[in-house]
Amino acid sequence: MGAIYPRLWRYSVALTGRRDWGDDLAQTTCLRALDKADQFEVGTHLDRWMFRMCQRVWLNELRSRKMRTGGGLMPVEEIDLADNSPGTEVNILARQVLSHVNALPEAQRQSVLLVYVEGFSYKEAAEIMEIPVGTVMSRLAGARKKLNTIMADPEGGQQ
Amino acid sequence: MNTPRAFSDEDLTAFLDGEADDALMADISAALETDPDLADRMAGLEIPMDAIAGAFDQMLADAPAMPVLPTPEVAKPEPANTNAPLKWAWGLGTFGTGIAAGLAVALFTGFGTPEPAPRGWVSFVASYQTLYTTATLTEVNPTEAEAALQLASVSEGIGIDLAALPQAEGLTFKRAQLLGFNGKPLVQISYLRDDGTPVALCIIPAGPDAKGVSMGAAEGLDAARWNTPGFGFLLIGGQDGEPLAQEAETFQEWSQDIAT
Repeated sequence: MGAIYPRLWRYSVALTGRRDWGDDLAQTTCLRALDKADQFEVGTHLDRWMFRMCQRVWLNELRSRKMRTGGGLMPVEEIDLADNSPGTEVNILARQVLSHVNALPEAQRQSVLLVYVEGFSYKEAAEIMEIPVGTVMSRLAGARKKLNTIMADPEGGQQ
Repeated sequence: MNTPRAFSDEDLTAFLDGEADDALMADISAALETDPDLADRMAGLEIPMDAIAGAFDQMLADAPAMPVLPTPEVAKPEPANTNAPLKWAWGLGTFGTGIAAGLAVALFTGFGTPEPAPRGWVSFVASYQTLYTTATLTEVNPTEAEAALQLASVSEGIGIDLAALPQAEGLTFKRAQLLGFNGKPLVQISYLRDDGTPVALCIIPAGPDAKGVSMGAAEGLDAARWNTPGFGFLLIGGQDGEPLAQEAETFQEWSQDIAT
């Protein structure tokens, strides 16, 4: 589980849109996984199982606190990179990219992370998100359109 | 087959992502030849994939340490309802720190299964590459003729001419072979760096959009990715990004000329 944790954390940040919430979600997911350890089928993919659990925890959390932030959009600046990586220009670019992705609606952001960052197939991503493959495709198509527009016109793209 | 077909954004997205089935792939490819509007729509869906993956890869370095968790014996399994509410209240800012402080010290090791890499081609290649050691390639010393033969063979498999593959400084050619990923040909060209680091140049058919070199990491190895129209390139190996970046530059320059 330790090997997966950084990826789980990143997914949690992408899901929640905020680093501090991502911290909490990743930790809660680990505890949840611990509780459900007996349900994990040896030989299946632990990362997919954890990611799926992570989403369930997050959805439960959203329900329980009756999200006040509307459609899931979070402050864009919440996802940010630390300053300790080499290459300032790369970091500026990376920050911009993360901001753009973070400005997507939560469902699209989640799909982008699973397919374009984690490299899951549509089918695998659909299983993790517990939605039909067609919905994954719609989300990705929507995300591509928005990102294309935002990145082509950085001035007018935010939200 | 000649009937014009309307493609949805989802179809085009699946095409760009390599997820379209063969028929759809062929239909869109054919339509792109004759329909400039379709090409425009496709362009409207293009995004800098490598920049996105690279930016998120950098995030991994920021991930906090995994909290100390109780052993499975300490944790009580709940009933099978996976949507049961958490017993931990969440929403208070101190939640995370409270967990770490309040739990047993033992590290959770219950999931002993090695984690496979159920991911895209880069991830698979990266996993494969991690198995390479200096010794894997030390004894592989093809003659020029053998190397040319291998390159000719993989050129045929991937559909681009690799005969003029450049000599990147510090890299010695060891082997070229044709692999496969999701039914697509995947060329792997193995090198040994002067310091003994195994490095591989991999090529796979990809979408029509060209992308510049983007540096990142995969499975703990340095990775440089770029695209020419129709092909994705990955140079991977080592953990000292500087030589890889220079080598990638050499190969990327060459790859621009071979784009067909």
